[in-house]
This record gives sequence, structure tokens and C-alpha cells, in this order.
Amino acid sequence: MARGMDPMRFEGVRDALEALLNTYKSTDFRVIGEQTQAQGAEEVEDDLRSVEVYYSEGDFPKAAGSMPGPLTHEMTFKVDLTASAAAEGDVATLEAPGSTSGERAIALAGIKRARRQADRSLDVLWRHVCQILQAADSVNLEVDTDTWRLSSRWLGNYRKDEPISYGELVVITGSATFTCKIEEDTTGVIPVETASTEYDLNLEVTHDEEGVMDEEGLAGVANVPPA
Amino acid sequence: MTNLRELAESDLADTLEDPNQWGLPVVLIGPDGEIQGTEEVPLYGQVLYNRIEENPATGGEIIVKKPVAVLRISSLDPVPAPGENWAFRIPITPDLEADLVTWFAERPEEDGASIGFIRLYGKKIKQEEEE
Repeated sequence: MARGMDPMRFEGVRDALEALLNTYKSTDFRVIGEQTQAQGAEEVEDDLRSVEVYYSEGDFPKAAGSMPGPLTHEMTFKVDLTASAAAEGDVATLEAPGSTSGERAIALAGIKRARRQADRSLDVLWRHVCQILQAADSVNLEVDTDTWRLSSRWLGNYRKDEPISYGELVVITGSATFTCKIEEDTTGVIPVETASTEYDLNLEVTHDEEGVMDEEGLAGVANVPPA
Repeated sequence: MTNLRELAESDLADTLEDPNQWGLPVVLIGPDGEIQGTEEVPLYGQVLYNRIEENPATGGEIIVKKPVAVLRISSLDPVPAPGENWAFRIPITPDLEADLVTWFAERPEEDGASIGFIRLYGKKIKQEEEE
């Protein structure tokens, strides 16, 4: 008999977090439900900026549970943000054959540096993540309260890192933590019933009185003596 | 009598600027909007399209897309200085006839001033959207 385990609720919370961000994002970014390796600068440029949400830490405080369960699961999810950007400016004027030196000087002076653009892009991303995850109407991550009840839900510890020049672009990252509590059941390893297949192994061969197989009998099984 | 340093500088006319060797057309746009590298007075330099940088995440070396224009200082007037806003235009591919693309210039701390050239590293510029 096979054995299995029911999924724990933190796995559902992880999937609900990813789904919530995907549902309510009103600007362009990508939601990634796992921890990825370092991403290339071009992979996160402008609207390709990314939010990675993944289960990072879990604790079962002894005072808030019992051995046979239920257990209070204090969960920490990491929310990693990554964006990159190029400088922006009036390229058309710089390239126009008929532009004057004065116009080109103004265009050059007005170039917004890539560091600034990347920083702003990350701020926009954080604004959206913040508004979606802290919204009061998604307090249970839009999952029916019969399924679970989250408590102590909080988004915090946001930190923005230094922008880094990466080839022709500038990359910037930031991270925050999403913490919450949930009640987990301890079901242990449970047996799983598997449907068995039955095979009919009886071989029925029909034959006449002399033991010669009938036409409807099995080919190649002639002269089978009567039982 | 020419010393070795002067000889190395004069060699830049061949190694950097000769369009029959490594030279590619470069257009420099200074902070005052003045252009160096016109049809009448062309400017040539050596252009590389990638360079090796350190991956800040791992410390390992990676090859990144970041064009570098290497220009002979004695062919420039004025010479780009750190802190100034410069742009440069280089062929989109290493071809004398290719279309030119505009890059925002970063003047690196490292340069070849003791021999007589500077390196300008390109940062991508996008056309800003109308507000």
C-alpha cells in the first residue's frame, strides 16, 4: 500500500501570494513563485522587472502548539524585487541632422541617468507590491476562510540595495518580508488506497468430443484434452 | 629625436584611427552640443562592443554588452572630461557603412592618457516618452 502526505497550508499560502500579485498587478512586472538564480540585466529591464515570492523561513513555537497538533506555523516569505533601466533622453534631437548645437546641448543636459530611472522603476514596483499585499480586502489572501485563517499578516523590512552598473544598463534590487501565522494540522504519513486491477486468468477452450478445438476456440491450442 | 612614448602615440594613427585597419567612424557630441566627427572632418577610433566585467552577485567574470570607443586624444578638441555630459555615435555593427547608434558616454577612471588615448564606455539611452 502506498503512503502519502497531505500538503501543508504554507504551500497554499505561497501559491495564494503568487496568485494575488498576478491578479491585481495593474502595471507591468513579472511574478515568479520561486527563488531564482541571479537574473541578467536585460531580463529585468523596464516592464520585465520581477517580483520573486518564496517561502523562506518557518517556525513552530512550542508554546503555541502541541505535539499531536494543531500547530501554529509562523511563516516568513521573502519578496525580492529586481529592476533595471537605461538612461532616457531626447535621442531624436541628438540624432537629427538638422538640430542645432543649442538644441543638442539641451537634450544632453536633460538626459535622465540610468541610476535614477532604475531607482524610480523599483519604487513603482514596490508601491504595487505593497498595495496588493497590504490591502485590507485581501486579508486572507482571497482564500475562503473555511480553508484557512491567516493571522498577524504583515509586510515589512523593506530594504533597497545599491544600484549596480551592469553593462549598458543599471540594475537595482530590493527585498521585503511577508510574515503571517496559520494553523497547521499534523496528519503524519497516511496510507493511500490504490485501486487494484484484476486479471481473468481462466483459459476457456472449446472442443468437440475427440478433443479437436472448435473454430471459435483458440488458434494453436488444438487437441486440448477435455477437462 | 622621438622617444618611445611619442612613437607609441603616433602609432595610434594606425592602430586606432586607420579605417583600413581597426578604425571605425565615431561622432562625439559635447556638452555644448558641438559635434566632432563630421562628414568634412571625420573622426575614427577603435570600437569594441562587449567587455569583461565582474558579476557583482558572484564575483566571477562575465561578458557584458557595453560598447567602448577608444579615441586618440590628440585628435580631440575638446577632450571629454569626467563629470561632463557627452554622447557618442558608433556603427551598430563593426562596419564602416553601418548605421550609427547613439550612446551616453561614461568616462572611466582608467584610461590610456600616458600613451595618448581615452576610452568612452557607452550607456544605452532610450527615447523618452512624450508627457
